[in-house]
Amino acid sequence: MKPTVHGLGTADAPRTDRDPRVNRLPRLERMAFAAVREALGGQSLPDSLALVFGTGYGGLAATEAFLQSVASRGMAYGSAAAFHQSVHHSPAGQLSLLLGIRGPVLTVSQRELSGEAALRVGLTLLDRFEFVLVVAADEKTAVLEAAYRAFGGMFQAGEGASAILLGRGEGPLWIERCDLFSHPTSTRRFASPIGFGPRLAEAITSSRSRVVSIAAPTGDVERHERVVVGRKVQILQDQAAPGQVSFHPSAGLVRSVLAARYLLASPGESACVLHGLALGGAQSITVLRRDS
Amino acid sequence: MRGVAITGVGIVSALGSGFAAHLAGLREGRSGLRPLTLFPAEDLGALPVGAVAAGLVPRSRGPRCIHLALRAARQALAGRRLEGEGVLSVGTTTGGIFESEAHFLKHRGGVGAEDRELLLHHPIGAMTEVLSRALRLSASQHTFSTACSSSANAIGFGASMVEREGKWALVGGVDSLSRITYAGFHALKLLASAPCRPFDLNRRGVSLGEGAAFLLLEPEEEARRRGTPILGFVRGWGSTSDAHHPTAPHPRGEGAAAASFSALADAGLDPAQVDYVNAHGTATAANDLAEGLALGRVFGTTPPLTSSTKGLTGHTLGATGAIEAVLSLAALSSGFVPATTGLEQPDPEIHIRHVPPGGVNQPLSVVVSNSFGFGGNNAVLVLSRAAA
Repeated sequence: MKPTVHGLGTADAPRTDRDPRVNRLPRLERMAFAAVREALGGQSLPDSLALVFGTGYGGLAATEAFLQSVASRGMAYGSAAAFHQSVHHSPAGQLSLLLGIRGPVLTVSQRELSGEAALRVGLTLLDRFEFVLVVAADEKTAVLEAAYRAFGGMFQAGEGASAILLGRGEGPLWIERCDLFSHPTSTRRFASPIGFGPRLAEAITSSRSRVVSIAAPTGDVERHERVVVGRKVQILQDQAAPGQVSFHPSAGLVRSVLAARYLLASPGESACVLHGLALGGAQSITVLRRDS
Repeated sequence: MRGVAITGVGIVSALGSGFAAHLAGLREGRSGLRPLTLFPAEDLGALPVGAVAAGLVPRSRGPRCIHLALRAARQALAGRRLEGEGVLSVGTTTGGIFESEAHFLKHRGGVGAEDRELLLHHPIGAMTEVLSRALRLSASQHTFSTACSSSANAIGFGASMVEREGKWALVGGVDSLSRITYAGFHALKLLASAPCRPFDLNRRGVSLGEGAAFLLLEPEEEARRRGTPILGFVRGWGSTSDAHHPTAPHPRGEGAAAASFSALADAGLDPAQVDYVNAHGTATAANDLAEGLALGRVFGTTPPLTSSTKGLTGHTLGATGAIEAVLSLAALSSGFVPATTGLEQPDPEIHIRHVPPGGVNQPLSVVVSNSFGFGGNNAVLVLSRAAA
């Protein structure tokens, strides 16, 4: 069974929606729904459908709002709305409500590989369901930026949402693999080049891909990734068309959508390797392939 | 689902630490609920919660949830070094928020670099990386956060990976008590002022708890080849969404019933083959009524014995699916069906077959464990003594 791509969507900001219920939702949910709208492209939802939502921090703004209400007014006066919106699963629950999805609706979180982790779970659910809608979103807040500064500004916080509709049927583009690996290290470090290099090099060789999307969470890590990739393979981020993606916990799925669009628009290319890295030492390898 | 053997278990909760302590707690119907002492509750007061005893959580640095998870996971491994690539699948709702909320409340969202260690484990995905490092696991890591069904989904996913790819899987869940959940459940008017009373006419809401539980899963053939004792099998996983309301369950329990049917179909079993249901049974007015209707729809006129164990451990949120899977396994392996602690006057609107007070001794072959969460998420696991 080939897991084929049936819809793609991205959003880097909330959009005004024709459904007023959407416009009343928090920012994170609105970004996620905008990406879903684009991925579905007006097609009706299939009956056999699961949803997997990936997020590193969930409703962070709501979490902060709830804690702020407790800090300023006392524990007995927390905001009920902020509390339920702070639950990581809240955006997925809202998506299921808006779309009427009654199959499995799962939320997964894997630090800076939350998008890839959602894709991985989505691929396994295709054993049980004909279609899986994989969505990922994270939001930037002032508190998150303060937290990064507390650790010396290891990277700039970004935000965005993306969605991929996967299916079992025919399609020009499919996901050949999406694997997660672990190279345990300190909670505030990425895997070393000695750890991640062999997996990345093997993926490029075995897929015969001429284009790679790198994680590039920091300038230092990016330099090491470029050394592993070498000069014969193009870095997707260097191409003008796909644009730049800020680094955030679910950016891996945004990069997957951009890579898919690049492949669809580039008849000469047959595959793209996507490399992901997370603090704590996790690594992901995803290969998108286009049928010639 | 076929051939997914359970070869190790670990558990820590308000009932104590270890499988034996929990089996004893089940038999005694002993409630672990006590007035909150973990943090000052200010104007909310010290309501009953299922806190893990102080002696079971090291006072050393590091997040409370990771101490709980490591204790349970180490029990499940029992010193065994897992070989080859496997799967680590964990359910949690709040991860290390007990520490990061303390940072926020002190620094009000500012940098607070002098206390930055408190923030290190705020991302819930950090749990699996710490477990991987501490337990020297080579595993793909998966963190499920579907509110109160988190660890039931983590177990179901891990079991499906064992069946699909023939790998081992360490699966489970953890959550610690925290100010945000204590104040949050109060804000939703779901927190009980007295120990919870699932399915009771006078139930008044949830008593929160904390804890962790893990199961080691591996292909049955592999376990038999090594001569490892098999404690039971994960036979089915069903997961559905209500698509009804952000926090309240579907009033007729439609999503919950669909998850049960899906899990039983996955197990290849008929409802009549189920001997015992470990219900979600949170003691909120809405959950217990909806769950009763769902059970009625699934089991019809011949319902299996049913009870909730929330009166023993409290509602451990993201850990509840794993904790109750282990308690279900304890019932399965011992042939003891626990009664619902806290239930005095059954709600006549809820038509389930309650376990008689004191519990009953009865051989069990198949057990169902229900877990439902905010966002209308429903997860049901089917466990059995024997393989298919």
